[in-house]
Amino acid sequence: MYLGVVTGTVVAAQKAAGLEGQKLLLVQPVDDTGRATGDLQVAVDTVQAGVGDHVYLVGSREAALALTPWFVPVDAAIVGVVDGLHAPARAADGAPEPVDDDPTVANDSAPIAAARKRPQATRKPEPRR
Amino acid sequence: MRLCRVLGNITASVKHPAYAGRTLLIVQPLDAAGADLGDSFIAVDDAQAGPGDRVLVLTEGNGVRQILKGGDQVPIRSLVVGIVDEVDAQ
Repeated sequence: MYLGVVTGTVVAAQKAAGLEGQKLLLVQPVDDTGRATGDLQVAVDTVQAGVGDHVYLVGSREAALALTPWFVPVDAAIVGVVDGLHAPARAADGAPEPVDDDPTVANDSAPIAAARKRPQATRKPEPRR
Repeated sequence: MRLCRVLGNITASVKHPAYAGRTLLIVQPLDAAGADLGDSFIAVDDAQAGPGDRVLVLTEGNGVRQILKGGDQVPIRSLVVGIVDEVDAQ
């Protein structure tokens, strides 16, 4: 399972059987510091997530198991919306702790910036380090 | 299975029912010397592990389903199954 930031929605009129009525979202996978890891992907949503949400996903065969009926052709499913992320042991390897939102600091990543606006998050993703 | 270090935990109130009551940990894969290897990911805790612990993470969904005994439809792929005391790499 991995973290991601929802960056958009996908609409498809023609879908495989079993995918009717399922919401598709565009997701940028990120690591615990908010750094983008890998390419943008389309994921099926099981928790009513929205654009800008910091979420966690499950991939491969287990993604299909998140849906009902469960034997459907998906390879990524959003299975939770992240409220808080607390990683005290990240600092143990010498990596910098993420700083709180600071409007004076330039942020070159739009999806991460959107997730940083979430009020519930106790620890927000930081720009690429 | 992978050797990882637990970085911390994640809280979520809106989640798939299969995750209800389970602890989610952020884990960082390690090499034999204990250095970071690749990107961090999320695993469900089944070993009462905490931040800083070196752990064994099962990343194969069918094995996870057998351990969690939640039936055939558990959308969980990574599970912390042990806390590592020592690694002896020549």
